[in-house]
Amino acid sequence: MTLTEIIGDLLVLAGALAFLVGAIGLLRLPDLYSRLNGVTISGAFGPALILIGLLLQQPSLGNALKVGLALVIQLATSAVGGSAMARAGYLTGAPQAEETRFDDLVVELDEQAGQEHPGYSRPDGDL
Amino acid sequence: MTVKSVLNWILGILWIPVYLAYDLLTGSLRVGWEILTPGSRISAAFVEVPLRCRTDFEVSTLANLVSLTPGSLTVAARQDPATVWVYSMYTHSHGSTVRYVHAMEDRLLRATRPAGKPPRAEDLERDEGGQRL
Amino acid sequence: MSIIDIALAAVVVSMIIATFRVLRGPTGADRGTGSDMVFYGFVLLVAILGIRLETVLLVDIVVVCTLVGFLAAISLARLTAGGKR
Repeated sequence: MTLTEIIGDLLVLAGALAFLVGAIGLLRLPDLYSRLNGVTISGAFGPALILIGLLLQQPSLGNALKVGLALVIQLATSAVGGSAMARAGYLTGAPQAEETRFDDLVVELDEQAGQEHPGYSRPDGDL
Repeated sequence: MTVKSVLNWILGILWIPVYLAYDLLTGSLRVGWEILTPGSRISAAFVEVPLRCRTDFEVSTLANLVSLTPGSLTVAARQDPATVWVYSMYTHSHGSTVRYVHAMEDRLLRATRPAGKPPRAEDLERDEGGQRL
Repeated sequence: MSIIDIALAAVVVSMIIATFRVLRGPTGADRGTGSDMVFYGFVLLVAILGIRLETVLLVDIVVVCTLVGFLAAISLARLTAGGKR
């Protein structure tokens, strides 16, 4: 094995482990929105490492173009998918964890609906 | 448009992937550490951030960049006036999250405006706690 | 048992965990998130299998998969949100 192949192997392993970390986050994090941040690790960071590792394993011009294209598409679409899912969850009232300190969006949505909103929904104290 | 501003513009475009890789790495390490160690250090918030972006492309690219960084997520966006609502996992204060998104916006506008970026709005009509003034 | 095999195993375990989230819920958006994750795992399995089998053809499939997964995520989100926009 050459040096680039070894580095490629290690990058693939690191990407797979990052994917595993994101999956554990899907179990462990408290609410939908923080879980989506865990999925960002799996959907953007893990694939980026694995695709670069793939390129180092089989270096050629055609592969570089295809891997670059896959990387750009994956980064762009995983972010859009995450945002769409967060929005859908918010609109259907997905519960928020206790750690959530304040929420500007509920104020905005209330004002759009023509309702008065009594200040921000945040715990009193140390902000 | 001078030669200097065009050079600055090209440099801005070239810097975007570098900053993106850096943000992706540090954010992943931070959220990964949060996941793998016991206990919870999350102090989350939904923060409204007014923007200087004007076109659809700028607003959607900024929303994408924010979503791509683990630890922050765009929940909603509005075109006129340009605003994004950002879910941030680690919120020290309202102002710190706004400054974080604005730093990202600075780097984006450097790449999308050949004529140079407009000045940042100083008056965000919020105090540090996020209360509307 | 090489490094690549360990990577394959890690991705498969992740997909099983994500399936658990799909079954468990509790909201529709959580299920959508889980199925999104299962799809990313599938794309990565194809990419790693390309290294394992030492063929370049599977990279094309990865490119197509990333495009299709986007449509799946968006339509799941629309489905979850119901009529609301």
